Amino acid sequence: MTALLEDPAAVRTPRTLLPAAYTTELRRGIGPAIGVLIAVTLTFLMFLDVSDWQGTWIHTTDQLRRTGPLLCGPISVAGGCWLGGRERRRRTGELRASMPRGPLRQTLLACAPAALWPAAGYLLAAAVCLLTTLPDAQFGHPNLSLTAADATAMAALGTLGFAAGRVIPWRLAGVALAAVTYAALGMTAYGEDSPLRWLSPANEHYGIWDRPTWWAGPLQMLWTGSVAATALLLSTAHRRVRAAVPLAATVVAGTLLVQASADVWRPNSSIAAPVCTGDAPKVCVSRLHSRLLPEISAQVDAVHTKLKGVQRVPKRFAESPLDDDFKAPPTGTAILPETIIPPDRLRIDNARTYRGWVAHSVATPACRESVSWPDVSAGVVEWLAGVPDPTIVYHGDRPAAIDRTRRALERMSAPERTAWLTDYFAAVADCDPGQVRKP
Amino acid sequence: MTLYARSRGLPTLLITLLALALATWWCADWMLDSPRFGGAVARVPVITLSALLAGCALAASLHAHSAELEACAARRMGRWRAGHLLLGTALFAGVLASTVLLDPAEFGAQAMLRNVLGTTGLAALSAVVFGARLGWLLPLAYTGAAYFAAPRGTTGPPTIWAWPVQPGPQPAAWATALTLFAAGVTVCALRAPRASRGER
Repeated sequence: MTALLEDPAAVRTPRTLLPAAYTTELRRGIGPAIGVLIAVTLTFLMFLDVSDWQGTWIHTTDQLRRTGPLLCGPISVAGGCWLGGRERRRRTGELRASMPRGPLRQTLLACAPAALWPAAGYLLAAAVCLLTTLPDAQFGHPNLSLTAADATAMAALGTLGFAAGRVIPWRLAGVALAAVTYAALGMTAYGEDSPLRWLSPANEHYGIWDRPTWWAGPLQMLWTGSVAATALLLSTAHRRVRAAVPLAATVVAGTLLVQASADVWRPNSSIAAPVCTGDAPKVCVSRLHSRLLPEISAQVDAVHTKLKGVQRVPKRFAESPLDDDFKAPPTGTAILPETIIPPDRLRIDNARTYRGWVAHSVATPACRESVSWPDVSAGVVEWLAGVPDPTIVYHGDRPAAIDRTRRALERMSAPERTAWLTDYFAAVADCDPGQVRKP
Repeated sequence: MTLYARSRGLPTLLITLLALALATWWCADWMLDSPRFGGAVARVPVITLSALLAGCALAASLHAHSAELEACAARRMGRWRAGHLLLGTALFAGVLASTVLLDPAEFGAQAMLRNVLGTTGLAALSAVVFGARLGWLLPLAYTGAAYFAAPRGTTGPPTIWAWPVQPGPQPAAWATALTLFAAGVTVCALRAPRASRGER
């Protein structure tokens, strides 16, 4: 009665972000449960071992990409498949056909929870991970376009499941499709170096010195989005010719991704730029590790002090992240190990091991041609670092020459040792293991 | 008995078991022989995914088309559900274990037996919470997480929580799987799977 007395102009429908029908559709059914399940599963898996990613933006984005689509994609597919079979289960197909809205609009409405909830679940977990990275990440910014591409992939997988659920009348279709998705994504993530792996949203990337090109995220979004749109339009069974447009986009985006392959990643020169100390020896690390410069310098000094008076030893120690690991360093430079520094909070976990790597790069460097340094060299590394060469794994007994060399270097007088080490580092500088003689 | 079997779609369940057993046998055989995988460890995806499908199929078969009518029946349906789960699990576990008999202790028959038990228990719990036809929700998320997140090695806490990816004779993994199975059967016997509008 009160409502009848009110001025109709004053009674307004509350404004919402989405049309009322979408809001209702999104609230009901298992859509919210799928979103929560994806958010909880992904967050749990990410925080199971934060040492793998927390600390740099690229590690966090890479880990989210490795974990999200691969582990939560199948849940998205199964949820979409269940939602797609709703009209058949409820036998409301005829009722829906009598509605004034067209089939495409009805399909989009019904598909909304299958697409949006998995994407929302992924974005929520990604936001939590990126926020916890914020305090430790010093340089650069998160690759939000890649995170958006992953969210689009989650929505696309949900939509593909929805389209499959509309046409497969089997109660186990969802979980069977999820099993197939696990296998397909797993094979493309860990599989052989096939060019088709660049089409997979679970394609792994390892490379902290990389940054994606500006078009990588949008192109991946176009690829996954157009595949899902094609499947959805084909499953609506009404004017299937409309699917030609997303199909064309699928072909174009897919071709571009396969052709671009690894070119979607470029060297990130901003975080790889060197930051150096002015003292002798000069120590240069990447901007990413600049906070560790005093700690790294201390380990380098510990090794370099033992080489006082020795000729032809490196005067410069530098990280060289953008160069090939197997390339010979410039004359007078030793390459510092950068991959052994864990990404979380960027610290040196084990200073003695790091010192071992420094000694290894000084006493047994890479050369232009592949060389094999003798066991005497492992003894020199051990004497320099005070720990065994961390790069060597023995299959069988440890060679006796290592301990013999270390003990001999300890026993020698300082002039004797300097003379022997000068000869040794002459052999190293000439990259000639044949010149190395026993102490 | 016949009426119960028909109302739960048990003939379809038997066909599913047959198809699953054939697929499991072929996949396990192919992965063992494939130079790309090689060794018994290659069967881990088979014993996890196959057990996942088995558990979800058993949970889905608990769906009652007229749950309201059954709720006011004179017979106690809890016993029927428990018997259904026990017999169905025994059948699925036996048949699927027989498909991976070669080297049974290393991701073979023992692991398959354990995984079918554990996954069925988890799916039964999921069925009570979300509905029989949504019984796949929890096992799907859990199996995927355990498979990809479990650290290498067969000692310590992972043998408890990552039971689906442990080799056959791990006592802790068996304990978790048996506990889940016992919990699933008990809860399912006491409480019917949820039959709500959300499940439809």
